[in-house]
Amino acid sequence: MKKFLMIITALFVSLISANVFAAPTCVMMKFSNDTRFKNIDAADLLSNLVLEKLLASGKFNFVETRPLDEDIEIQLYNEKLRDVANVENSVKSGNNFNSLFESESFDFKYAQSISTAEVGQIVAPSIVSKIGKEHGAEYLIQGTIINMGNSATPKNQGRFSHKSIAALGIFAEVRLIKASTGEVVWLKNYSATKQTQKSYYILPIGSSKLTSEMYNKAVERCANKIVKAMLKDLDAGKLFVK
Amino acid sequence: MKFLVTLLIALLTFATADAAKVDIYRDAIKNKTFTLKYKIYPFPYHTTNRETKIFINQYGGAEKITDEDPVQMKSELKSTGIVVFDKDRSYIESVYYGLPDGDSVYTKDEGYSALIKNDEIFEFLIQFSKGKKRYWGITSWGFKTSKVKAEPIQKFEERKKQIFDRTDPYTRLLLDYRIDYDNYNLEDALKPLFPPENVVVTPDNPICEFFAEGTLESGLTFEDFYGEKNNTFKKVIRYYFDGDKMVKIAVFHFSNNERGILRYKKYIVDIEEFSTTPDEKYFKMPEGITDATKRDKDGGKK
Repeated sequence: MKKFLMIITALFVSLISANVFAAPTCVMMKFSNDTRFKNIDAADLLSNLVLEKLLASGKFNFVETRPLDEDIEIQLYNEKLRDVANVENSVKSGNNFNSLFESESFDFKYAQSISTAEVGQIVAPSIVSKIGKEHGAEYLIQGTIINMGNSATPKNQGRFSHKSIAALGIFAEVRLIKASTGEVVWLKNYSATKQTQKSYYILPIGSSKLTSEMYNKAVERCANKIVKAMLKDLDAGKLFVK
Repeated sequence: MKFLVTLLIALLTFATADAAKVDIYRDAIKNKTFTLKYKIYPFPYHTTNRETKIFINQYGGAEKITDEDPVQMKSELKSTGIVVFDKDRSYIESVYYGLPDGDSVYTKDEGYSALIKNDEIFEFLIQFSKGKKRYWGITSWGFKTSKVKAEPIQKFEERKKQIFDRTDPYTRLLLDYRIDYDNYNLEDALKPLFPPENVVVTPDNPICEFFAEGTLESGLTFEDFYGEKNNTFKKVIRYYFDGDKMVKIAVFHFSNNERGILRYKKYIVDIEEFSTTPDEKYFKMPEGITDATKRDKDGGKK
């Protein structure tokens, strides 16, 4: 019986590991934060949560167990400085501006930034493939927090009762980028909120104050949605499609 | 003698060859007889949400806009538009795609247009319902209506001047010229084609002059314009032609701010039509809109 259990366990482990290692190698990039709450490090929290949950699923083959800090946005920005150099060289030499207008810089096939890259667009292959090679990853998972905010909605219900609702929300996008080509192969966006409400039925019940617990909950809900969708598309064969 | 004449003709041809194709469009704008239909595709630009400043919108309301920063990027909105001129009659339409819808994360497509004729202006709001374009009149209180009333153009221009003189001298150009494209990117792209007397120079907008021309592998030809201001603000515009037909404009302008950070903007204007014939259909009321202006028997506004 013991021997039988050992065989079953070994089979199970080998099946799981075969499944994991069949998946392409990935790295998680630290999310970029496009909101005005940059000092609240939601990007760090969200990327760590997503990575933890994907690792726990056992279905992803991550070559790094922490999000990478490389800021592709800044590297892309530095690339854009080349446009300026191209213009200045043309002006000095008296040549036309082909080096600017007929280059990748003016080609919509190439994404100008991570946070605006759409499926099928290419994100600076020189930058992305370098990261891929350095870490031995075939795919990069890159997220962007697009918006964070709060709202308070008083709702009048009658003479003796009413309630006020306060909410914290987070809106994020996630991209899967093929490292060798820089192509965005998958893109989805998610929003998650955490609400609290204060009701008045003669006496007040509950609270409509925003708390750090609500913030953490909203970020976690967002991470859950991202992970759920990624796992669903992975199982359906829609994630690493190219 | 024959040699000299040939040389003279060759020299004249060479002298007038510069930017010859844009001249067709320059004349059309100067003569105010043209139809222009376009789509604008901006490339994302750098910005931040950390700092905001106040911008006064076209109706005099205050809006917050963001300042630039090298770390983040934002997409400017795609837009489409129509500009038709036949001397004193004009129709200008701008539609923006992906506008923020209130405080929600959702977006909407919306635009507005203005029809100017007989020294009166009709303003319209453009909205989309299930992908279908719908025009609305705008009352003086800002409400939507299917019955629109005209406003005397002089009153309209005074109102615009009151709004813009304080904040944006560039707009004076358009008012003087009685062109209000209401699409800054289009104005910017066409500025080298405006009559020089109508061009108001602002600190961040250099005058662009013809720089170079050539032919691409695709067979399209191009004419490049370049301008700079105080060696800081630089602007490059390329006009593309298929034969004599203008098909595309590419614009890139940039500057370094006081912190040495590059600020730039680039976009492409796809020209669907740019003809020297005004399209008469745009001088009529849009579908679903009726003119409710009260006029006396002579047709003048009461």
